Amino acid sequence: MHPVNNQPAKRPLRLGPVGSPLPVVAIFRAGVAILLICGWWTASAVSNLVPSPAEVVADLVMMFAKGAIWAPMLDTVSAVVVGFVAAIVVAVPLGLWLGRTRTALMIATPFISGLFAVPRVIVYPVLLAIFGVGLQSKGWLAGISAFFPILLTTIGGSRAIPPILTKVARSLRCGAAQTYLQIYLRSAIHSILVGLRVGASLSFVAVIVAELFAAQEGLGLMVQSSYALQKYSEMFAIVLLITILALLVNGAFALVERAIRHE
Amino acid sequence: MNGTQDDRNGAIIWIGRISATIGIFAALEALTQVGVISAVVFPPPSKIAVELARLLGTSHFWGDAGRTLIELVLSCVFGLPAGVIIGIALAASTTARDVFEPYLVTLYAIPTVVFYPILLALMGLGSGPIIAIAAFMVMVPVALNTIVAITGVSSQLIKLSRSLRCTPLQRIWKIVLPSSAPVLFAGVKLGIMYGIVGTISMEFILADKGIGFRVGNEYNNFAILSMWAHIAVIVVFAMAISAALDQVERRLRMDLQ
Repeated sequence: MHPVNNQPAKRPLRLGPVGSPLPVVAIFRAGVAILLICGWWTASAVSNLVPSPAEVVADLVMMFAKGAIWAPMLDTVSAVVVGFVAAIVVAVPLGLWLGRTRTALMIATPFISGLFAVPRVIVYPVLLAIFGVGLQSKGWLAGISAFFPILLTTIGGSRAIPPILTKVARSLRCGAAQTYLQIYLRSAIHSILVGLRVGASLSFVAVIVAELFAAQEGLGLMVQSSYALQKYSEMFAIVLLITILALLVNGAFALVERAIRHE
Repeated sequence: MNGTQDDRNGAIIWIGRISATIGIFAALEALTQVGVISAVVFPPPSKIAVELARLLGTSHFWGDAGRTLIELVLSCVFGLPAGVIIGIALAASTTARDVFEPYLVTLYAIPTVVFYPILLALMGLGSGPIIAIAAFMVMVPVALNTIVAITGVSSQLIKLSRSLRCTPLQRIWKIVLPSSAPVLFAGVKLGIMYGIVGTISMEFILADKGIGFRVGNEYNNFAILSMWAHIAVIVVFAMAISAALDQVERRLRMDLQ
């Protein structure tokens, strides 16, 4: 029988030097960043649609100084957080259980992988019809978007638990709750964290797209309205802010992943 | 595990899948017919099926479907080779990989979709910005998986290619690509799935035509039944593509074993 491999591809051992990147690499990396900014600058000089980096950063600073950005940012972020946390609460236990229960997993697999392929944002109009425009429908969308990646990686991690650990749990007469919390959850935590990182970024994207479609408040809506008003520099500033937020979240998860791996 | 037990398990699994499908539809039908779920929000599945059958007979629908399909295919035509080529280039040099990989991973994390107004200004309303963003979303996972796939090729195979005096092109075409095929294909599959998500989401927010656009548009027209029929089309399409790609992937893995 060929088990379906749900685990993300493992990084092979590197052939080059291991450890901190070489100074050459750091210099090149910085060089790429500088080139990108130069490219942006050139584009702003050539086209009147593209504002210069300085203008955009100044606009972003102004938005924070005036305080106009806080409410939309809070709205977007809280929708993502609520949905994301709800998705964890449902997907992690379900994934651990499915990973340990072969028949149930085999029955559920085509549904899960099939639904994972469906662009989540199309359910947004349905959520709008149920909850109306507002935080609730965005939160639900965030939850649905984060649910599938978390579920899939948790299943992968749960299936990969070494059989010796389950034997240990049995011989120590661990109860179901103890086995799940102390053995399964701990041993699958690396895979789960990968799912959390992907889930967080997908739910953030989904909420932004949803706000571009219809919202009362939020960063996506601000992009939309500043575009409509042809305030391009303001629009770029919000796009920049969205990018920074996404990078911060991703970086935070990467740090947690690294910390746990070195434990 | 012996054959008969395998067969019996297979049968249980299929019975489980089929009864789960029937159960879900029956429950939805019952709940919507009785009125527990408001028919305004979620019409009974039987009505959606009837609407879908009507829709399939209209030229209107095929215009939308054709537009979406062309956008998806073009985004893959641009995105897949770009991803593979970038992946091969970065896999070839450790320094290049160390320099560019963090940027590539970053592109994964940021919502590319928010760049649409810029593209809209440059390319105008139509398929252009949709294909550009979807192709980009296809490229990133393909490039990342290609790097993993190619750096994972056994060094013995590379040595063999050297002692056979393969040209670099031969080495890539005859040794590296076939032996990294399963991981490479996992990237291609992910890329195509991202392409579907990108195309549909982009249509949803900015198009003038296409299935994703129609879902949003029918919602705005309060045509909930038609909206659901279009959602059903997208769900079935995405599930079918994902199942087909899974099948190909399984075959590739089996070939290798």
